[in-house]
Amino acid sequence: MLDRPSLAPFGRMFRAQFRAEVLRLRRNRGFTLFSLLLPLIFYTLFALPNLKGHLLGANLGLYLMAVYAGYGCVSVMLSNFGVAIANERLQRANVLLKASPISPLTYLLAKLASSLLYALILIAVMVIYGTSATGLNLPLGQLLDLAVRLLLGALPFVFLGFALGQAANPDAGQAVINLVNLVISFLSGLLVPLASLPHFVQGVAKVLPGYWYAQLIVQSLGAKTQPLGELVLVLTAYSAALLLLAVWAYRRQEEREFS
Amino acid sequence: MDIAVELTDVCKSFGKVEALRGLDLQVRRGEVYSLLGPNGAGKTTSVSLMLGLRRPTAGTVRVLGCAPDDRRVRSRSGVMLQESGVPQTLTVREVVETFASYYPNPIPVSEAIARAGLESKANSKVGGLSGGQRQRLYFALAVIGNPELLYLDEPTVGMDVETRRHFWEQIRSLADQGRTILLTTHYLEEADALSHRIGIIDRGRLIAEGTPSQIKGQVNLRQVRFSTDAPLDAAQLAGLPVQRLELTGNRVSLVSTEPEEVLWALFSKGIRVRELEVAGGSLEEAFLYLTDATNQEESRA
Repeated sequence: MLDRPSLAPFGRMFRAQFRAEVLRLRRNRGFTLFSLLLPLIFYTLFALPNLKGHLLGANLGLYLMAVYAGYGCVSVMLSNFGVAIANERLQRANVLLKASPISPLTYLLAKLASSLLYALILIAVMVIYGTSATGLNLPLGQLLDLAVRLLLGALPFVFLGFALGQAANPDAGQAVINLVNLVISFLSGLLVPLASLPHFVQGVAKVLPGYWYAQLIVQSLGAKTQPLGELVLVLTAYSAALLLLAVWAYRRQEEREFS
Repeated sequence: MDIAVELTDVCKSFGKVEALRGLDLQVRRGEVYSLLGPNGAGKTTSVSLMLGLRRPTAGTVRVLGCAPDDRRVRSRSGVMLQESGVPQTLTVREVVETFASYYPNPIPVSEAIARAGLESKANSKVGGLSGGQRQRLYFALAVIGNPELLYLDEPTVGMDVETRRHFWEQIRSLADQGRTILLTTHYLEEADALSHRIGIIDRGRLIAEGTPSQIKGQVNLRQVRFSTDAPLDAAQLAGLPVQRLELTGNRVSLVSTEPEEVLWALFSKGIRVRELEVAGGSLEEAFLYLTDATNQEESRA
């Protein structure tokens, strides 16, 4: 008994949890529809007729490709951290998990890894669709730059999703979080370019993290935006604030269910 | 050290509700201990504290010599909980495989599934399982980590008779391998059939503890059945040590701590008794007697 290791190795737990998360995502049709199919449909409807246009100095076909990929990334993070966690609370899967030896951090890292994998697939699909539709090929360096901005810039939405997943009433979690997703994406210019929205909406947009995320993304394609330093600063501040909110929501939920 | 789980003077309140009021309990290594009590007695609360899912308001909880929420303790424990779930879109095998990774020395996945009798459902989604099948899955998850210590909270609720028998065999074989098992149940038959020791819990306190036969003996209840020539009037037994009385026509069925006293009184009143049977009390009678006695003490206090 004494020479038995006292904890399972992190790598084994992480790999198994990662696989389970990927399987769950793959089998969730609502999730696939919301985060993967919707950007493709939007691109077909709104970008294909305007491939030659320009917006803020960038080609409109590429611009929309990038922001729709951004919408997809936001959806992945809000679904996988928000809706999924609210559902786990609804099914009380969180109780059995808490009584088991896996640490919450391992569990969340596996969730993050599976979300990043899905986001990456989505980015790849949008890039292939967008570049073949416009006939414009992006150099590898620029593609990598775009992908890194899309993934890193989505961090605030990981924390926002987590906070909502912990705080929302589990029965209404899915509906609430999908609504938050649509509102943020719409008002931030991730679904419709801000220029085509009423003036006051453009003012409101600046208080949402999605607005700064959209700026960060389209800057990669040569669009005129605020300087990179300012965008990074604002998004870092959002990440920090939303992380605090997530920790608060987590502690509150723990106190409610496990004290 | 031969104590696996130890609760010392544990109190637990939820707002104004006192779920546990000074509970002292020790589960020895290698024994099957059943915590028996009516609904709302504090069984599930006790298990939550032992698992470190909840913290006691007062008192201490130690498991395998450590704090109950220590991950090293959890790596050596298995648990079947009421009202817990697992992801619905995964198959039985996938869920068991995932849980296997959480433990340092898991048993093979196919063995856990076979122990639970779920081979035919191994590739079915969790969402499509019946209530009983779901209980079996939770059992597979409880044993996958090759645990020294098993918590089974009302494990056979919702199982049909055959499944329950199969489950009892599994528990016996786990106990034979020297594992410590803490079982909560409100089926007396189950506690009687499986346990080395039984603790009876009522309104947050342990009111009796011992082997099944000690519990039955502690109360020393006898079941007395007989018939009379003319229907008996309950008034004729007034003042006698009768705990429970049932009169149907000429048939009399009663439970007493002193059957000789009762029969002597009837004889001296000239009542003829036929077809007399006196039998040892069941665990159920003992249980009703004990919980009833504490209720009366409480209402007097």
